[in-house]
Amino acid sequence: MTTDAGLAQEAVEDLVERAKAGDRPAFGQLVEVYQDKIYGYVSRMLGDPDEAEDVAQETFVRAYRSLPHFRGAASFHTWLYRIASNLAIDVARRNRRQSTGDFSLDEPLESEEGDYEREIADESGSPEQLTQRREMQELVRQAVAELPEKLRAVVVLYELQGESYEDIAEILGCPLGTVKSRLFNARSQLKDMLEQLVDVGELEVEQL
Amino acid sequence: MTCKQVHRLLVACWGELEQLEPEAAEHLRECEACQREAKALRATRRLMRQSAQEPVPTGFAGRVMAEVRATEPGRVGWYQRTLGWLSPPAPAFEWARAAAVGLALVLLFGGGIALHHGVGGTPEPGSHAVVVVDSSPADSSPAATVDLETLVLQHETLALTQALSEDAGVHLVTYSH
Repeated sequence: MTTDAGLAQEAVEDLVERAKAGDRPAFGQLVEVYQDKIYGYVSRMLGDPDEAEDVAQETFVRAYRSLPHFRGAASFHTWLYRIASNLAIDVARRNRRQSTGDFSLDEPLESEEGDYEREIADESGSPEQLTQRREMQELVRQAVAELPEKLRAVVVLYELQGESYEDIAEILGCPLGTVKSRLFNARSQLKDMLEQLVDVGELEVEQL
Repeated sequence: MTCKQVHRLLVACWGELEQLEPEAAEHLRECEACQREAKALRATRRLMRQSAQEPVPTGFAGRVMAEVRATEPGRVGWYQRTLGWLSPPAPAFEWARAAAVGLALVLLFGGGIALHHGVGGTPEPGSHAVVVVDSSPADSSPAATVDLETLVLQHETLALTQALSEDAGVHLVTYSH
């Protein structure tokens, strides 16, 4: 039996059918089931928690309104992701246009103790290692946020949300080959961005 | 196999060596630059996967459902319909309320004269009708006095008609301004 977000596919289909017939509590259950996936996706796409909540909420509201048009050709979670993607990509593009000063990975990080350069010391097994790892993760998060929206959507869906190539193609409405080429470009750009900051080839991968 | 070819394969597999074809793996064993490239890709992927997911904000699902209820077109609960009768109506339902009020007035002033029990006498020009609801017919003092429109709004039209037709404490009275 296939499962979707921890729920049996048949149970999801039943909830969807009931929600389509106007059963609001059934839709409420679908929100509970998919909120982690959808909020996780848009928060990784947008980076801002408040903005992510707005977009995730709008995703579910639009899904409810559009339920009569959902014919089940795609799985419900793919359909939800598609609504979320359209909204998140629009917001990300708008943010990019409105951004007055582009974020630069070369700029110093700000902290309460003041600014400091993005340097990763060659230490391991110390309390500093955890801090450095978090700094590196923050760098990666910012590097992901720097990717063009379409590359970002693919890399987040595949690497972080665990979606398949086929589902991503359906979510983003593009051919399978496009998904693979975008993923390739996203990986390459991410690694290049990080290499401008730290010698990632020197990092001990197993200790990360 | 060239470094450029191997590089493309490494990006495609995030530097995971076990996924490389034998020819590329052989190149990698002897090429330090490609080994560093593979390591950089593996580190990038691992760091990305370690980035914590933001937890869903508390009460998120509740807020979604409140928004769903607020924006739901054409699907109104019974309690909202009741409240709708008591509060300023939406334009789409204005006609229905007006029709119900009109029907009640016709019933009251047409056939309803028969219900008159002599509390007020003949209405004078410019007079205003009120309905006196008396829970105790034997007692001549009214228990409660409510404005006609309020009563109409608070009751279904049929229920009101039925109440007026019962000779138990419902009196039509008039008074002058």
